[in-house]
Amino acid sequence: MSVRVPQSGSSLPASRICLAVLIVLLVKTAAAGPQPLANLNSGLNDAWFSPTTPGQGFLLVVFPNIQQVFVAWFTYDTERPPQDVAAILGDPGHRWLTAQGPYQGTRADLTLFVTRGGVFNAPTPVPNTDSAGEGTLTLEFADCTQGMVTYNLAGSGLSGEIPIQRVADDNVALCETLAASEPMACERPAPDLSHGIDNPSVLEGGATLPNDEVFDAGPGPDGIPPLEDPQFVQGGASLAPSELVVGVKIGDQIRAYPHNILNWHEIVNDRFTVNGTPEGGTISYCPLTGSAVLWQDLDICCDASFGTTGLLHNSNLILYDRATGSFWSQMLEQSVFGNQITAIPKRLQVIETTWATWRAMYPDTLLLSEDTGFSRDYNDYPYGTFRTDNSLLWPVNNEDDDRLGRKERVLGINVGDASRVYPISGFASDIEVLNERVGAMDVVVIGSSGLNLGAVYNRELADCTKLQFEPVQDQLPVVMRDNLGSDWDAFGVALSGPLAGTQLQKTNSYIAFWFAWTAFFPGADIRQ
Amino acid sequence: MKHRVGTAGWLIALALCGSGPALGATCSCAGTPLLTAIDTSAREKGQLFISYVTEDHRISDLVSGSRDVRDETGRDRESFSQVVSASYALTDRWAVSALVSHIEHRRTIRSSQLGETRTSGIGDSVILARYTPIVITPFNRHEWALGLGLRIPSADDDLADGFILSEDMQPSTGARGTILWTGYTYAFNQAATVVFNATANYTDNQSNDRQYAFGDEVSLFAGVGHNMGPRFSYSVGLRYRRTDADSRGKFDIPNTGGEWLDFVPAVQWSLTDRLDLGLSGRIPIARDLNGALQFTTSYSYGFSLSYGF
Repeated sequence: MSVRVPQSGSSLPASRICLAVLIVLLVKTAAAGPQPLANLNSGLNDAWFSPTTPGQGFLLVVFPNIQQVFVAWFTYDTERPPQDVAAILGDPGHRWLTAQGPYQGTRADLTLFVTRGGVFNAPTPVPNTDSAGEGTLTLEFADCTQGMVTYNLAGSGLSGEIPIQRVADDNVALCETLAASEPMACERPAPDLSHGIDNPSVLEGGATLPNDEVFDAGPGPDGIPPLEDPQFVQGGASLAPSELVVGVKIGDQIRAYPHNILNWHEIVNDRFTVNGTPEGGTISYCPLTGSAVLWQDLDICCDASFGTTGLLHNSNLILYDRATGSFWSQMLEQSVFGNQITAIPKRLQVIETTWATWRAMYPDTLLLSEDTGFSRDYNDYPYGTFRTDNSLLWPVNNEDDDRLGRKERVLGINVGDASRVYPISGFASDIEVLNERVGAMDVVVIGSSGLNLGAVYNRELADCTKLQFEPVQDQLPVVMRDNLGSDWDAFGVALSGPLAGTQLQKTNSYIAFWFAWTAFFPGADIRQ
Repeated sequence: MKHRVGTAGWLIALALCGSGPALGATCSCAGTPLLTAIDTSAREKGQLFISYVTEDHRISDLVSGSRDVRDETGRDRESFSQVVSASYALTDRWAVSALVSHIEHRRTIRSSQLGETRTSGIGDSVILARYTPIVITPFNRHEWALGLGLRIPSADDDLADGFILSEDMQPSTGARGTILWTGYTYAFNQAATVVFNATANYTDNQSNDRQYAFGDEVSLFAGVGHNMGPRFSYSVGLRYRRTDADSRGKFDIPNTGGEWLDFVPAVQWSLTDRLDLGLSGRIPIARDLNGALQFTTSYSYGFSLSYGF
C-alpha cells in the first residue's frame, strides 16, 4: 500500500511516514525534556536504585495529603562480616535503614534511623531504633525519572550522594501526569538554606568549624544558665524605654525579651500556642556579638530545647540541643558538631528594638519577667564596657576590617554569596524603606535610627508579584505600605489592604555587631 | 641537722589564684599554687631540702563585687595540685629553689546534661634565686631575704575536650612569668620559738600562644608562728592578694581580677629530725572582685612533707 503525497509529488510507503512521525515526536519529546516537578507526588512511589551500586536499593512512598515521605534503604554493612558469621536466613551483612518526614516542593530533609534487634516474623524481641536518629537523608527530585539521595551518618563517619533511578518506568507516566496537573512555581528565588556554605565539609575533629577557631570561654556547659520556664508580666514599667528587647510575634502571642536579662542567660526555651497547638521555640541572644535569633523546636524527639556549651566561635554563642547533644552555631544558624551536623533549624523572625518602640507597636505585649529563679542583678551589664568600647575578648576572623566601628549594630543579610549590612545608625530617624536587590533577591529593608529598628524581607510574593514599598510614619505597628495599597508591620505581615494576612518571606538576616558580621561573612557590602 | 628559722616559711604561704570564670568572657585563674608552694628552707651552706606539697582548691563561691550570690547552676570547680620542690643553699646567703608541678582540674555543672570536664597534666615550673643579706643569729633577731624567680611554662596548655579548653582548665599557663619576692622575719626571743613573718611578692605574667595573660599579681602576707617544742609548731596569718584583670591581646577580660583577704592557719609536726609533716588551709575573710560576677575560692587546704638532707 502507498499513499500519495501531493505536496511533494512523490509517494512514500506508510511505514516510512509512521517512522517519520515517530521521529518527530521523539525529537520534540527530547527537546522538551522530562516533565519538571514542582512537588513530590505519589507517582514517585516506586523501587529506586543506582546502577553503580547494585545490590542495594530504595523504596519510596510519598503521602501527598499529609506532605510526608517514607524511604526504606536496603543496604549492607560497611565491611563484610567474618566468614564464620552465618545467618539462618539471608546474609548477616544486611542492613536496613528508614527515613521519614515532611517534604517541601521537590525536596525532603529527613532523619535517618537504623533498626536493630528484631528477628524474623516474631513479636519479640521488639526491634529498636535510636529515637534521635543516626543521621540525615535528603531526597531531591528534578523530574520523574531521577533523583538524588544525600546521606550523612555522622556517628559512623559516612556521608555521600547516590543518584537514583527507577527499577522500572511503569509509574513515570503517572508521575508526569500528576506533575502536569500542578501549577509550576514561579521563578521566585528560594530562600537560602544557610547563611554560609550550604553543605560545609566536616573537618578533622568532626566539626565543620576549625578547632583553633573555637574557644572554651570558661563557664562550661550551661554555666550561663538558660531560662527553661520563663515567666512574663504585662506592663514592664520598670524597664528603661531605651533598653533593647528581642520582640517575638507568633500568632497572636506577642512577647518581649529584654537584653538586660538575656545578657545573663543567652537562651530562653519558651512555649507558644499556635492554632491551639503548643509549640516550642528558643530565643538565643549572644551578648558578645549582639545577635538574636528565634528557632522553632527541632523535629528530633523529646526534649527539643537548647543549652549553652560555654564555647565561642568568632565570639559567638555555640548552643547544644538537649535531644542529641549536637552543637549549633548561632550566627551560622546551623549545626556544626554532632549527629545533627549541617542541619539547619526552622527559623522565625524577631524584631530587635527599644522597649519604647516595641511597646508603641504592641501595647499589650508580655515582657519577660526578672523573676527568673536566678540570683542575678539584671540592672548590671556583665561585660564591663565591652558593648561600647573597641575591645575583642576572643580572637575572631577578619578582625582588621575597620570599615565600621566594631560594635556598630548592623542589620545584615545573606543571599547566596552576597552579603550586605545596613548600619542601624545609618538609617534616617524616621522610618526608612529601601526597595533593593541583594544577590538574586529583591528585598525590602525597613529601618529607623530613631526607633532603633531594622528588618529585611523578600519583597517578591509566592506568585512572583514584586512589591514596591514606601514608609509609613507614626502609625505603628504599621511601618510601610506597598504599591497595591496594603499596610505592613515590621514582621512583614500585611495588616490591611488587598494583601491582608500575607506574610513576606523571611530572609537570612538579623542584627549583630559589625565585627561579628564581618568575621562570619567577610566581604559584606555596606550600605552607603 | 636541718634548722628552719621561723615556723612560717613556705608552710603558711600557700596561696592560690582566687577566682574562676562565671560568664562567657571570663576566666582568671590557672589555679596553680606555684610560687607560694616553693621550698625556701635551705639557709646554711650545703643544706638541701626536698618537699612534696599538695593542695585542694575549691573555686565554687559566686561573688558579685564583695557580695555573695547564690549559684543555681550547681557549679563545682576544683583544682588539685601536687608540687615537688627543692631548695639548696649555695652559701649562707645565697640559695636556689625550684619546683615542678602536676595539676588536675575538675569542672562540674550539675544543672547541665553535658556533665563534667576533667583535665590533668604537668603544670608550670618555677626557679627562684634567693639572697639573704640579714640573717637571724643569737645576736640578731631580724632576717630579710630577697628573691628573683622565673615561672616556666613547661607543659600542657592546650588540652581539649573536642575544642581547646579555657585557660583556667589548663594544667599550665603556657606563659612565662617573672617573680619578685621578699621576706622578713623577726624573732621575739633568742631561740626564735615565736616569730613574726611577712612576705611580699609580685608576679608579672606574660601572654601564652593564644595571647591570653593572667593578671599581674601582688601578694602580701603577715603572720605569727609559734614553735611549741622540738616537734610541733603552728602559725596563723593573713594574706592580702590583688590581681589585675586577665587580658587577651591588649584588652582586659571582664569579671577577672580583684582583691582577696584570707585567713591562713598552718600546723607542722617534725616526725623526725629530718622529716616534717604540715597541714595548712586558707579561708576567705573578705573579697572585692572586679566585674559583675565571678566564681572564686570557697576554701583550700594543703598537706606537705619535707625532708632535709
